Amino acid sequence: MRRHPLDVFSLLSGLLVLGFAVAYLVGAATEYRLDARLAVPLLLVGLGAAGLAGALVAQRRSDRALDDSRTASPSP
Amino acid sequence: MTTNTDYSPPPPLPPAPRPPLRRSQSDRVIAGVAGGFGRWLGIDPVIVRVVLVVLAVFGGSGLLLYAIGWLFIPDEGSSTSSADAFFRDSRQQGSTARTVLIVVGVIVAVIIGLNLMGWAFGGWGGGGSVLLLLAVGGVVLYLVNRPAASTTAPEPLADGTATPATVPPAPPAPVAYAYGGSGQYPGYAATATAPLPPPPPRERSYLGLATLSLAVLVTGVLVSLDVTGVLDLAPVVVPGVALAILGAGILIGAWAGRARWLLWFAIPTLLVTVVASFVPADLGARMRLGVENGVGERSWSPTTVLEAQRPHNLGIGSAQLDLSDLAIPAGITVVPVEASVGLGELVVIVPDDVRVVVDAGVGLGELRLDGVPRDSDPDPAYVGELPGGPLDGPVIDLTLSTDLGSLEVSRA
Repeated sequence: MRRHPLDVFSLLSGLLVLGFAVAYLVGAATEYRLDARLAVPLLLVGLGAAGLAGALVAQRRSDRALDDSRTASPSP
Repeated sequence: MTTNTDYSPPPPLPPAPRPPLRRSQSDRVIAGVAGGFGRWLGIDPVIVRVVLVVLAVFGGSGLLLYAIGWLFIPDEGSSTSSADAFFRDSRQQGSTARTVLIVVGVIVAVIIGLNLMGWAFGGWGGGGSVLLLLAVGGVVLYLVNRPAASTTAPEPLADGTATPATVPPAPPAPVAYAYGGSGQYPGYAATATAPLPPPPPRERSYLGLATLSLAVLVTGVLVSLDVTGVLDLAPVVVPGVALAILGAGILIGAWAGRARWLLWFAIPTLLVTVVASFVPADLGARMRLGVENGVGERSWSPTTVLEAQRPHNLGIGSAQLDLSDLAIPAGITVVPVEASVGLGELVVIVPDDVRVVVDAGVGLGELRLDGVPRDSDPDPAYVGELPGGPLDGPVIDLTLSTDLGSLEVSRA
């Protein structure tokens, strides 16, 4: 499995899922419990933010790759 | 008879490129959205119209979708949509379009905020906010992927030839698409001058498959250990551990390998975890008790203190405990009454001229006191005096519970 450039969407959504898991596992051991009505909105907010950040970073990388290819071989 | 030895079938035609998505000029009822979309999908536009009308009648989203299509799909023979022109204008300081955009943005943000708050604090009825979020997500996608050069390039026709321009067109600006397409759509091909180098072949990644398999394996092991009595796990632990494994796999995919698709498994697992967090640890014992307590409808109307003090339990079903005819002899100060329903509904009616103290809890569901919902928690509880009674006299001491369902206490 080779390393690749940081995938921002995977990073943020993985942290989100892991965070939910930890919150509920901690809740099973203690009295603390995440408000169930907040689970779905939090999931939407987290996934939306992760997708937005991932799209913006990918867009910037794509623009930069295009700039590099144009400076490397200038079109006539 | 002639032999067909030198017959060779004609070479297959190259697959016709899908026409660009345009609002139809020839097949339009309002603005050609359904006609154009149907042609783009290769289906009868009538089907699209029926779906849109149904969506418009039920909840109104059909109208919203049609308006979005009208705004964002260019008219036939054009490559720019109304939204393109609008956003082009909105780049200019002080333009009307810019002001409109800011106002609409603020309104949408406020609506989303209110919806989310209503969702979080007023129950689950959030279908509207999902639609809004989808719409906003679509606009964001459009803004990220919108062809930046199409506003300066000559307007191409659908068959790929440019309209004759009286002035030499400005050199087209480069266009980068996230999907790397350059030539599928004739209108866009004309503006792409510096094609990106072909992407390197994608290495196959087994990270997702490995993570999913591990999660399935661990889930099986945990359940086995739980049912054989080796471990005593709360119900939330099993999906919680699976969720943690899936999350860790997605996280590893940020640096090496690919595992984004695990989200499609993580989201249902999260929902299972949320539900499981309400399942009491002794569910099995309660279920057995529930079956022993019976299934069906119950109606108890004790008239004497002795009858009232018998336990009133129902496993699954609907029960009513009517205490309005309960006679409390002089000298008795407290009448303890217990009632429980495992799964279903419990309604307790008390006389309005007697003090009542309530200790009531619902595992997952609704608790109503005198017709008023106690609070909006998924697991409401109430300990205290039932309002509306006299200040002194004998007390009915209610101990009530519903595991899953509703519990209501009201005065006769």
